[in-house]
Amino acid sequence: MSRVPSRARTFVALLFAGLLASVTAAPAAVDLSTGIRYVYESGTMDECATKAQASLSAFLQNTHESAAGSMEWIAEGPMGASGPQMLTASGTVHCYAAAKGYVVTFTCVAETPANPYTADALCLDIAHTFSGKAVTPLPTPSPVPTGCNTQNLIGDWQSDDDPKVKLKMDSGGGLTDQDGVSGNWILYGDSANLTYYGDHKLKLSPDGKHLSGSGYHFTRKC
Amino acid sequence: MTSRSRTAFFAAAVAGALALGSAPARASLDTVIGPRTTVENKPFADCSARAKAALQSTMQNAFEAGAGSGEWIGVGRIAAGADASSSAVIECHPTGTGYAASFTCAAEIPPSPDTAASLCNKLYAAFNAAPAAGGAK
Repeated sequence: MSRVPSRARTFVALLFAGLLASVTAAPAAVDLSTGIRYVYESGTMDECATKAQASLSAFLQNTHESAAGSMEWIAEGPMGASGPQMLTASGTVHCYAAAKGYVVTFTCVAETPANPYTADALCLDIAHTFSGKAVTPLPTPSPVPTGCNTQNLIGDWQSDDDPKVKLKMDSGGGLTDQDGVSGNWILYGDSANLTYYGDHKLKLSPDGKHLSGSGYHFTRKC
Repeated sequence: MTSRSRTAFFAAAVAGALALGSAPARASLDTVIGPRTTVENKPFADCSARAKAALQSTMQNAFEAGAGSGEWIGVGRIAAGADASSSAVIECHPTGTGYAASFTCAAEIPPSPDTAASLCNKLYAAFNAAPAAGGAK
């Protein structure tokens, strides 16, 4: 028996197992909300379309009809999201013609924990805006971290292997090198995928400063 | 340093390292409204049966948002017990003599192997291939 007390060893083992379990779990999840349905016995489909766009645009951006004339409206968010990497919420409003008036339904999706509010909260506010009821203000997104962090790859990166190679990664998931060649980045946990002269899988270091893998080594300026 | 303090230091280091490693990720949320299908001369129950069957065959689960609502939800996971990486809703809506079904899909990429569009296309195909009401479980 070593000199380390057994209680302490048990504590360390449990701590390690517990934290490992929390790390191996998927770090984000899709949260979906549906079920709110309003039946209007008077009113036109045009009215539904106008209200659908307005209610989505009150909380999300890029509101558009999924196909011309479909009466299905979709928007994404949160407000201010500047690219695919930052999109963590979406909402849809479907208008259906009825014998008298119309029926409208609402579906929302949020990526947790990145999005600052739940899909239920978003859908309730969109529906209440549609029907003219009071809404609950939604939390605003936290500012996107910059510098060396483990949540994104935004920033300027310098190749450790070739001093000429420099990559600028933006908040929209895009990257551009020193010659103007563009690509994309995506980060999931500490696994990064760079689309830059092919697809490359790299690992982000725990301090958010180094990317390595597939023969590449980069250091972030921070 | 005593053995106890070494142990405590080790535990703190492990906790710190793993906490850093479990920081939230940045995936991309992909959402689409898929194709809408309109079926004439079929009961509303046919739509629900097809929606349920399509979700079960594609996503291995299906439940109705509210009993009789005709809004069917499926959740996709990359492994049993994992968090949801995709979800889909098939909405059934009665029309004059039949029904309309619409498909809304969302996928978190990564880890979802399907985009929202490909998931919706699979559901649409499965919906149309499903047996009519009475044949569905």
